[in-house]
Amino acid sequence: MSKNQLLVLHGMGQHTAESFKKEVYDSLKSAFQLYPSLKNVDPEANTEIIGIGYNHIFDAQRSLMAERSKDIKSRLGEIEDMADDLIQNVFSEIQGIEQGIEDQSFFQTHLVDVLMYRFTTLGERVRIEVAEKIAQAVATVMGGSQNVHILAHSLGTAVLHDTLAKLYTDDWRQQAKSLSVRSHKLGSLHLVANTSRVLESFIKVSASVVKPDKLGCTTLYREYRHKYDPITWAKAFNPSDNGNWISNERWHLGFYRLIEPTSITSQQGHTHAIQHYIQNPLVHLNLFREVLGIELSEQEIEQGHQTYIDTTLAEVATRLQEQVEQLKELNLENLGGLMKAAETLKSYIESMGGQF
Amino acid sequence: MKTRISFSRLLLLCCLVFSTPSVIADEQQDYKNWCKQQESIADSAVMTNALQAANQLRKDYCLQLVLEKAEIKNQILLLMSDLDALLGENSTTASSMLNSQEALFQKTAELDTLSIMTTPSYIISLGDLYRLSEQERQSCESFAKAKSVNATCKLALEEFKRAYDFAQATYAQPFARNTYGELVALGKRWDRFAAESKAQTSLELLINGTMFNRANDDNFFQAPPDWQLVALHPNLVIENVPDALDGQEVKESILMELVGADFWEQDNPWLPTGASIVALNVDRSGTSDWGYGVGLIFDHAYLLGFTHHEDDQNGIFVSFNILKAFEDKREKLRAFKEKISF
Repeated sequence: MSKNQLLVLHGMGQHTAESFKKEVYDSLKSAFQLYPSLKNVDPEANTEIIGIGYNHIFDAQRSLMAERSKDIKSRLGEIEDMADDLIQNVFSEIQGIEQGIEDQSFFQTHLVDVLMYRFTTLGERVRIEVAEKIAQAVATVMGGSQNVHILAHSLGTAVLHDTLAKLYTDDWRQQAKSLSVRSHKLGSLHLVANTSRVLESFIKVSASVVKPDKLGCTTLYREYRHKYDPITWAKAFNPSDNGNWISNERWHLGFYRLIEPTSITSQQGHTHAIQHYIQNPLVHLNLFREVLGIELSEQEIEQGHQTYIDTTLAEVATRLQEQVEQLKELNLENLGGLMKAAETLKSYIESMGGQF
Repeated sequence: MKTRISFSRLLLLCCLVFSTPSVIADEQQDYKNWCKQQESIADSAVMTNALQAANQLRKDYCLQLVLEKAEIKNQILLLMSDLDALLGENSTTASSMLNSQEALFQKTAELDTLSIMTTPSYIISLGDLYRLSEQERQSCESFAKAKSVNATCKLALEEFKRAYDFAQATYAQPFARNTYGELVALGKRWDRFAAESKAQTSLELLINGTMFNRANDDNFFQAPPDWQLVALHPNLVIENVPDALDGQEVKESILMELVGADFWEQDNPWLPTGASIVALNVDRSGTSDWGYGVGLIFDHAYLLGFTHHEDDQNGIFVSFNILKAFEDKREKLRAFKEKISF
């Protein structure tokens, strides 16, 4: 029996390959509890979940800079008669930034990652790291690349998009070191809270090979965007059925789908959390069917849906909606918008006693 | 400094000596595991011939009985005859698929992966989309039932997909393995860049990142940059101005590398890896505080240079970390001597 591989790629924050794999595994296990026939099933029964981490690359840079700053600062104390001049001021500023870069503030643990990915050479190292793991899966998975599926969350969606855009080529004769969109086409992509467009750089998201088309790198493309997850509002990717991105036929047959959940089950209103997305049947039923190879009966789907609905929190949705509504008046069509949205959601979650 | 370079080279050599065999062993194990893969067939299977042929192809490939690309392609496309039988006498779908794959192979040496969609209608995706006609679907159902009472057309198509993709993987996965190897090598080069290149401030990270991104806006992976810009890079130095007042000659100071460049792959220990234009400010009686000059960067970290002060006095400087490196070595030597003394 073929065993699929689901590669999972984390978003902003302090994650490792293993910690994010566990989050996804636990989320799927929790979703299984909605359906009597799945209560005792292992999410990895037919599909191996493989975490891909890239935070260690940012962490190494952060540590290096902070360590160097501390070292220089300690030596500064040894210098006598320090003059108060311009060089010292600039020096102090740089030292201040770099020493603080290891702090555990929201800016340092979440947003610095975004900036480091987008604006420094570390971005390329991250993409190569992720590409290695994808190529390894494609090269070794039983039954070929159609059995490789990828789920990415938040910043991970941008990393995944950019990586695939470089890893795959639609003209294999030109780049033999790449993977082929035809011979190595992936089974499916699942982009949860997609930020790829707001972080797009060397290629437009709408013009890359990351699409479910004949000359695209995947057969199926699923995008999950919670209505009250403001992080997804910044420059959202909204392809249309005009035949430019993928063929009309594939569009109508559902090779691409945008799924927009609206219900909330988190007391703290953490609509951006991967667990919150996967708990929603609109999200997990796609993963069950297309990745885990689980087909549920209509009756069981209905029962599970009802159980899920009983856990939703309408009043949290109303409060969160009020809180984030003001963001719509701002310009979110850039990286600043993404950060503003993230900070707004974070303050709301923390005001409700949660953790972002 | 020399010892440090030697040590880093020794470390690199050790890494190569000890890691290469294990990497090769991992790759060999991956290949062995890949060769052991066999698509399994359920008892009630419909597409047994296709599945067996796909498994045989993998065996033959690993035994090096079939290695030519065209020969592998022929064996993969032979599976289409089973699809042809499944879809009925009047079906043209399998032959259309076969012809399009032949043409693709001739043009680019690629073969498409195959996937099946059964809702809203039965569609085979093999590069293009092939929608099964009602007649083909009926033939498919009859064929499946004739093979096994519980079998359906959907099951038969899924079995064919498994067989076809397994066979196609025998052709496509070795290319992916090569790509993986290339990426691992490239990743290691970036790791060397991270370990050996001059430490960057956050400002330099941004400037060098922007320059790198602008120069590399094409859709394939890049090697690390050959050089990096040094900009407003602070350093601690000790400056010696021989003509300064007695007792004021040697002073510590903060120095700013205003602008410069460092070449991370320059590994000749006797040659600088880069150079910078520098400015420093030293509180020294009888001499202008401000000095400007040039610094040579050694081993991507150590600075050695010349300054000219506004009152025409000249100085030379070395970065603090050179002394620290010597100090560490002296400390190690002392500890070593203590250890061996009786």
